[in-house]
Amino acid sequence: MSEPAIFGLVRDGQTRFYADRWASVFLHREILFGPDDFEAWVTQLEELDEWSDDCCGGAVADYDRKRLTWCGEAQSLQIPRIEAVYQRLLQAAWPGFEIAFAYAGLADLAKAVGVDAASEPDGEDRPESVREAARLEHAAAEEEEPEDEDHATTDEDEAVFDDEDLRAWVTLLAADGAVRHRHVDRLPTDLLQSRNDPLRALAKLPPAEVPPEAVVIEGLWLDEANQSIGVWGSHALKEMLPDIRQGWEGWDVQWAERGYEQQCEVAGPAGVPLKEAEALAKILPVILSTKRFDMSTVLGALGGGLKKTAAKATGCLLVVICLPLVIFGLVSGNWKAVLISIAITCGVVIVAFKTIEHRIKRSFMSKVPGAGDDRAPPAAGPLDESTRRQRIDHLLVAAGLPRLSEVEPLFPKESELDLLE
Amino acid sequence: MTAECYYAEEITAIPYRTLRKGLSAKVPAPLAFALAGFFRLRGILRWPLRPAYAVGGPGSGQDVLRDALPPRALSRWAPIIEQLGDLGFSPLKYSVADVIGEKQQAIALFLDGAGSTIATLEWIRMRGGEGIDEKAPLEFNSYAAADPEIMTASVVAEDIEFSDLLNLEFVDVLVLPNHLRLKEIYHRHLARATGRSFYRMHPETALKEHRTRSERRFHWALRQGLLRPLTSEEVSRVRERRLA
Repeated sequence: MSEPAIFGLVRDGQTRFYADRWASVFLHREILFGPDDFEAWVTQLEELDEWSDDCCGGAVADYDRKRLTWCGEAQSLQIPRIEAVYQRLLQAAWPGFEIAFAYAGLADLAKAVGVDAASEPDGEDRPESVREAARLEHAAAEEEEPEDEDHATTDEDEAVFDDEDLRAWVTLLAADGAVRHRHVDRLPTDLLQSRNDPLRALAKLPPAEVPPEAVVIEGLWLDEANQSIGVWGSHALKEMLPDIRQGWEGWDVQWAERGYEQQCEVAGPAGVPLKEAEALAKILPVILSTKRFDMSTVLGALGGGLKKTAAKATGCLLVVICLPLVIFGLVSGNWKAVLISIAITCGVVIVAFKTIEHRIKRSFMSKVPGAGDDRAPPAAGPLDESTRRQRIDHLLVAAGLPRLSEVEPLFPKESELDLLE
Repeated sequence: MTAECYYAEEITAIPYRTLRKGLSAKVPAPLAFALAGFFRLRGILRWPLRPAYAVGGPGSGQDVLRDALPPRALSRWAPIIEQLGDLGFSPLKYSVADVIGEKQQAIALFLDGAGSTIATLEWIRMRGGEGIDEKAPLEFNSYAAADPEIMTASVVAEDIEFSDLLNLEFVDVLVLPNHLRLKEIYHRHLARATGRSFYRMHPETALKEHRTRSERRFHWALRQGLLRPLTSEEVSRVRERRLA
């Protein structure tokens, strides 16, 4: 279990490679402090003799040609508005550099560093069918059932999306004027390629609300009367535009540059757009943090829960043990002996608890690879909290974005960092 | 339009049993038991709670075009409006309620194809136990010359326990959970109306009738003490409270 990242630094025609077993998780944080801090951080990692494809992500900083190529998987950056805000920050952090996201994954990174990589370009993972994308249980069986008009209204399946779940938003503008909103995990391939009567499949899904922009990763609307389609989302989806046009022959398929806002205009309600400060509030808690994600963190989180339970159980045990002593005190009136006995019992139990805790920790650290590896630097950029905040604030100003003081009150109660607590 | 008088919901007037059942859906039973007792005691002592919001009386809301409704309301209503459209309902009017304090409210009225059922769709955004709460309850109402009116409502499951409150002698009430499909709720409403002759109304008549009936229900709530008029000091105090 690991989230490895590979790094390439090109300077004065020389290329050096570095790797870290866990850096992929917060890679978007590490590159945001600019070329100097990035180099200072990367050079503290394990140096490799050659390029490696055994990674989840990475970054190549070419200081000669002033080019940064990177690839990572921060969940919040899947939201186009958040990604756009992050890009502005990143550009401000790397002034004069050309910044490229490695959409083809490691293949693009290898290319950037001038290595002939064996790895294939990463493909996009999309659900096959509308029902699969809508998280409906009986997807396979459903498609085999005979066509039944009444079925559309007797379908008891319900798509379940929690408020915070990321999703794709589909709007059907029927020829009769009805507007139907649907939520799916991702835009499925049968919809994008117009296979298996996707309009009917979509109409049969449970009606949905207009989702807030904060949870929409991509969107599509179909206007039956005008035979037009608008689609927006990730770069990978944009690359699929020729295929979508081919599948929807006779329809006018357009890429919606203004994404969510444009779909709202077409669909009617103004929706709940994401403001810049709100978008920043989704990413800045991680950027400001200097916590490192690694196996110790995972074990620490698991162990912390276990320790709490064990402490509660031990407390209960202590009460059960001490209760007869208290009763003895009530009967005999010899409270001095009782208090000494309780103090000794508590002392013995606490020492036993700590000894067992220490042994379990040591056993884990020795058996799990990567646990207890504290040689790696925690994060790029200043590690001192106030300097780090200052740097981010300057970056926000340079990018023309709201200041930290405006963003901070909007920080979510829960973030990816909760695991590291 | 700004109302001359504002009214607050008075939780201390709710019977103990209903209050306990309703609170049990939101907090642990022992706490619900204690809270219900506390509220009821305040009711008996005529010691009302400080209101966080208040609404104007009947007809105080402002009729608006659909596009002028709060975007959050339209977003939240989207699946319900879609289903109402499929059931043959047409919009009668949209309005924004005259609310002060920590609450926002919008209302949409629809009439079915037969003209005998009015759907009242509400959007309520207010402070709840765990931050800001948003709800979209729906009512189907059918009116006749003779009482009772028939009302079938769809609310979030945790609010169903409060339906005991709606013990109106002139309204036959059924409250259902909102996870049921609208089609099923509407069919249940029509089934309850079977065998009686209800008004079949044109849009104008429907709006007039609906207003009359809503006023009657409002005055019933006032008589029961479930709503109480606020003093001018209370109105000033509530006006200062804002929903984030």
